[in-house]
Amino acid sequence: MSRIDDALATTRAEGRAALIPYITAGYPSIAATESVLAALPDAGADIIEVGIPYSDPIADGPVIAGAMHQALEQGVTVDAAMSVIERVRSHSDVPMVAMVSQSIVHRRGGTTFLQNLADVGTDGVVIPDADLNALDSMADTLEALDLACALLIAPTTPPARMVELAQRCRGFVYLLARTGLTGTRSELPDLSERVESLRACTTLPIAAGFGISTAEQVRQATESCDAAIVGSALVNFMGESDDPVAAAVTMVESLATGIHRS
Amino acid sequence: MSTSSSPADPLAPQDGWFGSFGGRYVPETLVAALDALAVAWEQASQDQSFLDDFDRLLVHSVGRPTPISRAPRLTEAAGGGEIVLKREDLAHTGAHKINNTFGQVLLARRMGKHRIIAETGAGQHGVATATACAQFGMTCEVYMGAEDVRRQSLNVFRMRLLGATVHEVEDGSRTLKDATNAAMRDWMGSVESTHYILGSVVGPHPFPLIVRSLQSVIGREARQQCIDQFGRLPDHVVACVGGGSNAAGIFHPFLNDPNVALLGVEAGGQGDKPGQHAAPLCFGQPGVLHGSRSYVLQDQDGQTQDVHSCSAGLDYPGVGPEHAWWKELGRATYERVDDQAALEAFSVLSKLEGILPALESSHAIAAAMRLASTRPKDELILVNLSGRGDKDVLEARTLLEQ
Ligand SMILES: Cc1ncc(COP(=O)(O)O)c(C=O)c1O
Repeated sequence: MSRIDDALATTRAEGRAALIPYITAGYPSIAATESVLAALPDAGADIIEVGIPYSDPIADGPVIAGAMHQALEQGVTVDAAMSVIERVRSHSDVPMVAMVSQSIVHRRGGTTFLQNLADVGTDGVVIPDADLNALDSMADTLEALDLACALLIAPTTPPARMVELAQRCRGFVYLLARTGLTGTRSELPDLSERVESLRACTTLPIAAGFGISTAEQVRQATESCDAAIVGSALVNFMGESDDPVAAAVTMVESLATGIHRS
Repeated sequence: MSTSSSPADPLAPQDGWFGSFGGRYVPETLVAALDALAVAWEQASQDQSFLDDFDRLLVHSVGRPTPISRAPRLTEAAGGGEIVLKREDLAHTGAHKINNTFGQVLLARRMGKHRIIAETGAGQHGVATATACAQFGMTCEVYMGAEDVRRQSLNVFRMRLLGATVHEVEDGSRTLKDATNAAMRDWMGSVESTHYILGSVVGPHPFPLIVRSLQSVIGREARQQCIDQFGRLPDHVVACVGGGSNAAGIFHPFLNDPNVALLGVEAGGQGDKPGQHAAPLCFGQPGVLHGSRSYVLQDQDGQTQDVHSCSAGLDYPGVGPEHAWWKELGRATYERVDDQAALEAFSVLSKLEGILPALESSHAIAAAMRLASTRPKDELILVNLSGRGDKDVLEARTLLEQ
């Protein structure tokens, strides 16, 4: 987690927001994932979110769900996803956060799985469908392993629950930019009011995600938030290209131009 | 219709948990809606006017009470205990599913939501949802796996006749599991205006509780009917288990009758290997799927496995959390019936009793005959005949000709 803290402290010191691209492990191939993880820091990624493919992701729109299904069909296992992270970690200090469904966490032994993630050099975890009781039972382990854990705050989250969720976050808070799924959409709602009320209950950096797909939307989001997360647009662009690694670099370079600087 | 029994009752759920099963494993976007739904349900289920409205619908629109029927020729063929059928096939639209949809449409109306979404496997829940929506003038959109659309084309047409929009789901295994994902995804984006009518006792809290409570009318009626007509309770209650709603509905009112054995019947499909069946309580283990912790068929990574059953309504890799709890407590037992035995029961009940059962219910009939053959003549075996088989005749013809 110190890598995540460091990255977000650095961007803050530089007077700018952070860019957090999301990619699905094993899409379109394990080799591509490895190269992309190695190449994105120079393209402008401050932290990278790595999605572990799951057969039934409820929060993901067609692009990411499709990427996950394709990866699974190609035989990408949880271990294969972890190995990529491990190989990248052997030569890179890029902060990496795993996005993983509760089904996988549960089946792989809960805290044992978190230990595995930490062992391969992951810096944090986002479990989009965690039950709060399940999360609480893992809180000590997260702390002991110094793993970041960002909980999702939705537009539908009432104020009292926002406080509860924010208190449980480690490293950063994940602000859902809209109701609905991950995916590319045109209009980004104004986040400033929600960010303001969230700031009142946490000092952690706030990362906005879900439906942020262009440099302009990165700019809008980072006017109030400390980081922008871009997933579907990137995964989609990689999937449509003959050279997914080059495509990822091009897109992240472009997204980085939207990062707000004060 | 009590939602939460007294805390002294060891079989009463607590805060959405059935022992260590249940819970709410969903993206944050849905949590507020589930909270609101839980509150609305809590209030509605204690509001006499809501309960009266529901009862009136059950009588005048569903056609309840459904009878229990003796099945003397089936009993004779099985040779042993007496088989009695709870006739959910006689409910409006031909299956138990309608008990739940009328209840939830009333609830949606109370919450001021006028757009309804649902998932469906066999199409029975979709038809039942479309029916209730038509009666109440609500917009209805149903998600259905492309494979099920093919297997249950008549029900797709019925839903469209009833004014519903049917969305074919092409993801994953293109069956009930994928239709459920699609419905949940719709709800993620529409949660403020839309109520999701889940069709079985699965999903995040409070769905398992709501659906079981609404379906418990089956068991309440059947229990009283056994007392009235046989002067006693049954010795066994048998029901098929897909997600588990018809089983939970008939089991629940018997939970505190210790001498009544409860038997749930899962789809044994074509064999015991992964991918050949749809029997999570027989072969799966605790895991998380579609918002709750229960028994799931999954691989060592937690990826949902493919399932198979000749019956679309049982073709599901998960099961309601309350069944997982009953299994763990030993209050109910679960076994499986394979495709072939179910098809045989489909034919046998048609020929011997003049009742064409749904392929789902045929699993329960097969298990009841198997059980009856090992029991003395004075034992009473109550079977939930969860639906009629008209929807299945095309599929059954194909299967029986093979
Ligand atoms: C007639 C019938 N019985 C049983 C089922 C299985 O569902 P459940 O286990 O929720 O009763 C279905 C589902 O479509 C059905 O149509």
